[in-house]
Amino acid sequence: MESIFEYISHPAGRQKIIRALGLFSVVGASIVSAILLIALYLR
Amino acid sequence: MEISRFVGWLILNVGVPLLAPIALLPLLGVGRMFKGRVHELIVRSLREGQLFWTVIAMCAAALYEAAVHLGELTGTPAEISLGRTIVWTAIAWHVAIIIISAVLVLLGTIDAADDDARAPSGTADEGVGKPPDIMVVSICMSIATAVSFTITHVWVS
Repeated sequence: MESIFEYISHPAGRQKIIRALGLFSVVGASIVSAILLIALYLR
Repeated sequence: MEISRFVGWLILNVGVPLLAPIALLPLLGVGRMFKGRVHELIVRSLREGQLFWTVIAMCAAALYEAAVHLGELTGTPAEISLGRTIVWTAIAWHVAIIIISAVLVLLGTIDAADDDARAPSGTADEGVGKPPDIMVVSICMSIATAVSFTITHVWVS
């Protein structure tokens, strides 16, 4: 826990987390949307 | 689903939450004080990741729609099973986005507080510069969530 706070207290660490979460979200949203669209099409 | 009903739903549930907070900012460009600075004002209103609040609200609405639909599934056991899988996928995804958005709001707040502390007094409000990563991520996530929320709504309707 202490190391996490230490990591996010530095701007560079925060930017890395922000970029990683952003990338994960956009890729994940694309996959989930594709799954839902395919399911919608096949229904 | 009727098209007019769908468009109404889209405007009320996606358009209004995303656009209403910045809808009035261009009006400030009419006055002398902010003439030609509308872009800067819009960037300022979003630069700490304020759109994540809207993302969280849209995800909560998508979760509600998906959860309600879970109890209304009908058809053959195979269809119900497939329907459940799809709905649980939507639920899990939107829960994940809520948690991620909350973390990003936290990081954006730390960033903003850090910037205020580092900026020499009187210079914190000058210019916009390059849009920060948190703002770019918040815009991308808003679009992604708007799409997944809309598809979830169409699926459960």
